[in-house]
Amino acid sequence: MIFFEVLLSFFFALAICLITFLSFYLFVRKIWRREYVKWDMMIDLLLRKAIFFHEDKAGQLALIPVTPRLKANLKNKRFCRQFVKKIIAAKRNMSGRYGENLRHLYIQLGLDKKALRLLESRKWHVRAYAIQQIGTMGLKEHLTRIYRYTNNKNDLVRIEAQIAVLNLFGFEGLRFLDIISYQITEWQQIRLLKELATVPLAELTGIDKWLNSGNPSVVIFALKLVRNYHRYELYEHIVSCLDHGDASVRKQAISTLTEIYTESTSEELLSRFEAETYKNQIAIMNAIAVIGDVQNVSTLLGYLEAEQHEMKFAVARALVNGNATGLECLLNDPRSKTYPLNDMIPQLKSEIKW
Amino acid sequence: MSWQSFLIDFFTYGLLTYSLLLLSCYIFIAAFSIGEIRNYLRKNSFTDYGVLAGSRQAPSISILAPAYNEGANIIENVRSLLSINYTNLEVIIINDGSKDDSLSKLIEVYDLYKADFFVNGQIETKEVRGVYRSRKVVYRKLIVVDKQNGGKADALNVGINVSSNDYIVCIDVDCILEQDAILKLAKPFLENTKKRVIATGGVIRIANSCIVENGRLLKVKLPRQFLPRVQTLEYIRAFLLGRMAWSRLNGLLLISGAFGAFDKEIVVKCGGYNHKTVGEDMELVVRMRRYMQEKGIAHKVSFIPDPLCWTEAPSTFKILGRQRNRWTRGTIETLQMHKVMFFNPKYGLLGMISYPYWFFFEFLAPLVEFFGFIAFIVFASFGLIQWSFFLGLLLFIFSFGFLYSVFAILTEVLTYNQYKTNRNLLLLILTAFLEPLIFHPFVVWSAIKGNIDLLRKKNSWGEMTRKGFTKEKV
Repeated sequence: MIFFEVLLSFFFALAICLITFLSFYLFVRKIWRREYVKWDMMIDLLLRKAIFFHEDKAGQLALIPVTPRLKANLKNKRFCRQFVKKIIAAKRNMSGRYGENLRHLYIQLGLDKKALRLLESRKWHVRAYAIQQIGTMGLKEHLTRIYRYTNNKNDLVRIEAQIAVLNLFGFEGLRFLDIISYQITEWQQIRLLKELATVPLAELTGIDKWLNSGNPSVVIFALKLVRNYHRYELYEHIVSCLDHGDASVRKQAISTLTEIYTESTSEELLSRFEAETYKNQIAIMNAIAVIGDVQNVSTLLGYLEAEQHEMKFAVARALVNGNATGLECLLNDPRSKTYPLNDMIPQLKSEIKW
Repeated sequence: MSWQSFLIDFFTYGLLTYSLLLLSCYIFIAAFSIGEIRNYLRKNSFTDYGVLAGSRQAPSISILAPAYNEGANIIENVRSLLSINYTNLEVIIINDGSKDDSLSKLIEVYDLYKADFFVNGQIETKEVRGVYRSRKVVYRKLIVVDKQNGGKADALNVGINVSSNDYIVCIDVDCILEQDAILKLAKPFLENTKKRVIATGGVIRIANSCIVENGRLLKVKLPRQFLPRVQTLEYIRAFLLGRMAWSRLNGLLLISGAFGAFDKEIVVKCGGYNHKTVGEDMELVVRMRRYMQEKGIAHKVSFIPDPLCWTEAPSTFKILGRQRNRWTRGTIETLQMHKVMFFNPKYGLLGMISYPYWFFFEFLAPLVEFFGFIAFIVFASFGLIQWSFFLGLLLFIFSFGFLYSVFAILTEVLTYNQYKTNRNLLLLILTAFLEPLIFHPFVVWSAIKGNIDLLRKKNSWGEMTRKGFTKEKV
């Protein structure tokens, strides 16, 4: 009985402690929220002033006037965090002189030094936060300190460092692909491509080297670069990727070829069809349906023997779209009168109409 | 020692040990989930989901929404689904042989025509009567399938057959999705390197009393009625603490049928949803995991703590009873179908921890609780144990239940804080106090009825009438 009584009292006491903490937390948060509203206005005012500031002294930017109160507030961690959050958000949306002014204000307030101190933190999210600040604020002088994080073991630190390097140096920043040993996830690739879309288009070199990388995710990313930036001169390299040992690399190569194809691409793809995995075979048929230029229709007709309806449908679609006589050949084939081809053909015909 | 006293001691201490084990599991789950939620929130603060919305590289997703007699709200619900901001998306509404005017309403409002469409019968289903597409380009993402009635699992299987994308998101058509729900659900599939992510689930929240307009959630409110409110608390506990901990362990066996995303390739390889069980959502996840384990492919079922989907909870004991009865039958059926996994080291963590946990603490818990309670009353009535011992044990369990709920409320406030006002929090705490007295005994009783119904081979889904959401007053 004593055992129950002790535990029972303990549980109730703990529940009351939690409720007390909850009440205290809500009370404190209410006060903080009021502060945030007040600070928000103060920060907005300064940022507006900074954005439109233009007082040059002998070619150098003069100091942006900052109130002593705001300077004092910057010693407060919460205020500083809120300020950095707002200035980063503003900088992301500004370019040219306005963005430069914000950068100038950031440095003037010594926030760059704080960010550098945070870089040494043991906590991964603090380091990622510091890297994000340095990248967004365009502090190129700290490249060497960020660059080593592009191959960090923590995925968030790694991606923030990679994004920061791209922010600072555009396409040139992609040289981290030379050394990266970790896999670049699809999410990271999407972020990197999105970031690249915002930097000025410059000469993009090194893709051929990345296409031969030992890291399959680097090869896939390079293939995506080729596709997005239509690098036709790398066509032969892409075709050689069709023989890569990694199936996902080959699949990406097939996808890339739908953007930079020649008259012989469909035949190149068809020649590899039988040796491919099922998923890649479907990808090949889908690619042929886009590219067209199929010379040998009989090969495709042969693949209609596939057991899976998904494959049959993909082959039929490739046949219809791959050659001007494809539909006719399909309709003349005796199998087209029987299930499932007889069900597939009306849809394929309607797709042509569209 | 007589055999009677031995039996009573064995029973008493057995039950006590069971209770302590169960409570230890809960403590472990609560503690373990905290780290996972914290990590997620930290990572999430760096995530811009907008990157995915317009990206050509984003995974292609098909939303599958089965509808049966949903005529009253189908137009609004479909509009809500079509407004989701995601490029690689198709919305498939499966009319599961509705007896009302659902289909004709859809045809009229969305200007649909019967399209020539080849349905790949990779999963066997009831007959598909027709596939409809819209003439209007603005609705090009919409596909409506009309089929013979076959139940939710069969309707979802038809959706899988019709879908042309790599991932499927299965939802209840009357659920309200957050605008970024699909983006958040898609992201885990893009982050896998060593382990293939085969399914992702998100937190489901209770929408009773919330303000909903045109299929969009305008204002979150704590349910006014006791039953939906207590389910709000229950869902916070289950999703925020329970599933996050299991996700961290990579031992999650359930993605809610109301909202979950799956890798279509694996779903098809596993044969799709099983229409022989009323717990098709759990059964599919277990089967997929079992398949991956048997093939020796490293995999993960991921879970997101963000509130992504809002649904209407039963507000009467009658409907709630049916729902819990069904859940119980679904759990038992799934456990029966996959009994080979029970303490089977071949299935790793799933076989050694997840399955046994579900067996001992999800399936057996209501039975142990019910029969233990009756036995204690009998023993105490015959003077075989002291009433004070019995009451002490009850109060001990009650105090733990209350503590656990308060902890869940605290976690909710520190993370998402959906029910912002002090009044709401006070109401939730009061609900936590009342839950073990009113709600919990009813849930246990419904589970017992579920067991009985299963023994009687009752296989019905149980009608789930809904009242509809609250609309904004003009």
